[in-house]
Amino acid sequence: MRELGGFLREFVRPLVEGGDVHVGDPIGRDVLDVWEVAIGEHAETTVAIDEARARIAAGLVVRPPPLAFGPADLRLAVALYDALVLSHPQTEGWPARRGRRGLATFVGDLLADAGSPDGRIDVVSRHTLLHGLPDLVRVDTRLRWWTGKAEFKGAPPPRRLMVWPTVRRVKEEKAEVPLTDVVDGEAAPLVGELLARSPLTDLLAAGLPARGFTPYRWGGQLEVLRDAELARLVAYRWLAGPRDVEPAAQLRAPAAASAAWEQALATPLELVPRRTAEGAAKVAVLLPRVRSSLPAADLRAATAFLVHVGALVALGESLQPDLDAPSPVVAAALGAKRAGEAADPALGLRLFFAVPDAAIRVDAALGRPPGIDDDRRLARRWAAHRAQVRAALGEERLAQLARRLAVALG
Amino acid sequence: MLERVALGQTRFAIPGVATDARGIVLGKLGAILFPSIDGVVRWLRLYADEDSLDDLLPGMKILRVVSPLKSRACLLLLPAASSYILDRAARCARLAGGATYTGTSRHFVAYRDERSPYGYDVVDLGSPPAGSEYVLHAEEAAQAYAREAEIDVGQLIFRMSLRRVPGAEKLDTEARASLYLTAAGGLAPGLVRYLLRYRVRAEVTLLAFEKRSAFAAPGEEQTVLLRVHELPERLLGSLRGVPGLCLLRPVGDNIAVEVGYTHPIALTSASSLFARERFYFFFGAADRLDIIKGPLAFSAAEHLGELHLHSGTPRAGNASSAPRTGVGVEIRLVPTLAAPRRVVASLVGWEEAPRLKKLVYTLPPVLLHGHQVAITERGLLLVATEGVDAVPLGTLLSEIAPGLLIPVGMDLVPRVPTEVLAAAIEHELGDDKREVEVGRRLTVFPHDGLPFFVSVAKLQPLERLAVARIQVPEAATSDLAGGAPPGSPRIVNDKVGRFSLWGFHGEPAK
Repeated sequence: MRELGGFLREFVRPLVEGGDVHVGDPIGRDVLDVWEVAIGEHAETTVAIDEARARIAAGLVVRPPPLAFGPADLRLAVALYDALVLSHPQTEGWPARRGRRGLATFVGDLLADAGSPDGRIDVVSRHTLLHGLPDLVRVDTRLRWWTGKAEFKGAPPPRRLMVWPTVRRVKEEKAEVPLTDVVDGEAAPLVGELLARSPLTDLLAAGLPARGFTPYRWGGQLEVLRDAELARLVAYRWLAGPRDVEPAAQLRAPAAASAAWEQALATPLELVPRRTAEGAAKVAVLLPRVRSSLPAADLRAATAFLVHVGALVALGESLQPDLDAPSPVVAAALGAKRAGEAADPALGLRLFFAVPDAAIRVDAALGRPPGIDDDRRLARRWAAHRAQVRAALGEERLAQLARRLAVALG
Repeated sequence: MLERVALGQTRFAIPGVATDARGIVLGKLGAILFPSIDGVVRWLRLYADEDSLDDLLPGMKILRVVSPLKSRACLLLLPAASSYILDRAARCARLAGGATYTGTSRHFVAYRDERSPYGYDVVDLGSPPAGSEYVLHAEEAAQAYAREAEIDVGQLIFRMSLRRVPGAEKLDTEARASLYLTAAGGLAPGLVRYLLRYRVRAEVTLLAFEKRSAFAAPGEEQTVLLRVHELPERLLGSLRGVPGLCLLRPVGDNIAVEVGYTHPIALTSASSLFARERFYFFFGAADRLDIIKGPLAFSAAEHLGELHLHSGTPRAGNASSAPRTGVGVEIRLVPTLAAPRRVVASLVGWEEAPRLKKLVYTLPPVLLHGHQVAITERGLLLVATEGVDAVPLGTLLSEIAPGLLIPVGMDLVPRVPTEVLAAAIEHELGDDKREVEVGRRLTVFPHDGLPFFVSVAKLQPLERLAVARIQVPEAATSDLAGGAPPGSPRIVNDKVGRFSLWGFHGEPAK
């Protein structure tokens, strides 16, 4: 059984500060219960962890809240630890099948108990603990020698295989495996659920390739977006990518969020008109919305946030001399070809620039951020973007998207 | 009456003329008629400037002629070697107000002009009046002249007064390479010492005039001639205008003209007039020509330096036991009335250092930036860079030689050349172009005490030393965003026990 001190030093602290996150024997319920009581005995480590979290929080908000590593944080850390144990190569295999299932159940229970963050402090607290989750990597070593080969996942090869490298023609290849490849199988939904428990981390990780193990979904993140400071942080981080890369990489996060926004809309099948018994005129009878689990208010908030981010893109181009010229970013986004992969950002790039056009057809206040008309240059640039989107996608397609949004908003 | 000569015409009424290869009528002589001698001088100046007079001088005559009506004129006869020479002479004559004729002995016909390119011939030669030696046939009429007198060309040229040329006193380096300097006998020793002090290479000789004044006492007109080489411009300026001294520049092997003047005629084009065994000095201010029996034999002037012989008999002594200071004299500062030099530095004593500190607060940035300071035991040596006025504090210093600073209004005695002084104080004179600044010294002769030197490398900008070193304590900082950004976590899989998952079952705990 692991000790709490070792767990805090070798797993939690490097998870926060960066470094080697050691994953070994799983941690069960009984151990966790003991640790929750004994957490006060490891103040030295927990204080160091809290200082690191305070530094991270200072980079997020103006007045970082006081953070103290407590049992709730410990449960989240244990949940992540156990989820990573499921990806441990030594826990794979038939004999451990039942134990793995039990461990996954235990992790699910922990995440269910954690629930959604309660307030702004909880949002920041969870993010400072799990901010490094999307950046988790594992260094795999492939070793070849004259009579065989072996792969060591996240562990150094034994020294006996490394001796006499010239005589035995030992070749060592190291590769950094991103989190999306580390957590596969039953661990992936658990880690995805863990990300959903930290909505700020989930928002900031939107669109990242390492987050490909689970698609981005709108849900509890709306609580974050209702906080103006955190919403501004998310918007700026989304657009903080390098300007010289292609729009697909530059607007990866808004694209992923827009793709998730479309998932929350009514499906096209819900818009199919039902033929009346008499077979006369076609009347669009909308089916009751059953698919989208996102409340209408949350969907409205997500739509407004995406429109706001789109306005920021226009604001970034409002200093160029020709305000009515087509935007190269919008043109590249609208012309991005889909690679067919689920994580392809081109899926949501077109939607991202189409969101304002769809929203303004449903609600004029929703599709046009307030204050745009105060800046004439921004207003001209915004109009140029809209004209470019209408010319590329067509009125019919935008109208269909607007109908789906209208149905989803109720 | 004249008639125009046609191309290929071979028979002429005028005697003694023929056509040359170009078909131009040409006699053996050319005759240029001027109404006065001024025209002759003017023609000489014009022609000498364009071509050499040496070709014409052997056969050239200047005659004062008189007509039967007793009108006087000057007739210049010159050999017409070719029509090209006569063409140039005719062109100069027109400019000088003369008329050109050609002929051989007695009859001269008008030389060709624009109206008749091949010249003229006379229609009727007629009979000249009795007593006439030259008959000049012009367009209108023929004029006979009788010879009254002959003017020597050489004497005419020698008697011309020199012209003063404004600005010609300033000589360039090439012109200063070799100059003649005449000095009265009494000035000669001082002049030689002066030149030797500044290391001007000079040669000296005594002048013996060919024609002495009948009233001069023996040795009274003795003049010393010095030939100086590469005279510095500063010395040239100081020697100019000194009574008894006259600077001359050579214009030929045996001709010299006073600096600032020029002869009306280019003397180099009439070199055949000057005898090789004589030396000709043209003085402008005195307006005279001195002809010296030559050739001149110069002697090196450095041998005329003053030597002080010890009166007593030489004493034998051991060189090693001789006192070292026995042959040296102390260098002293003495007031001088010479023009003040530019102040380049100042030596601020330590008692005035507080004033300097106060002054630093009010100095404009240009002055603050343009000063360098060296802190010495004798005080603060402030050196102003080029283009910046020195701070008026302390002892103002001027530069008598590169790197040698003395107080303003003072001079060093004995007045030895700066090279000698530099060698005596082991000072290396700097040359701005090739000196190595690091190894240079600034030697200062203060009013009191021995001179001292400061290495140029020790000079520091005043603005750097002006501000006292401030102890700035380091404030404890607390990084708002954290010290190092968090790094990426990396999963390290430790060993997992064989039955580590034992105890986990599929049923939820609750």
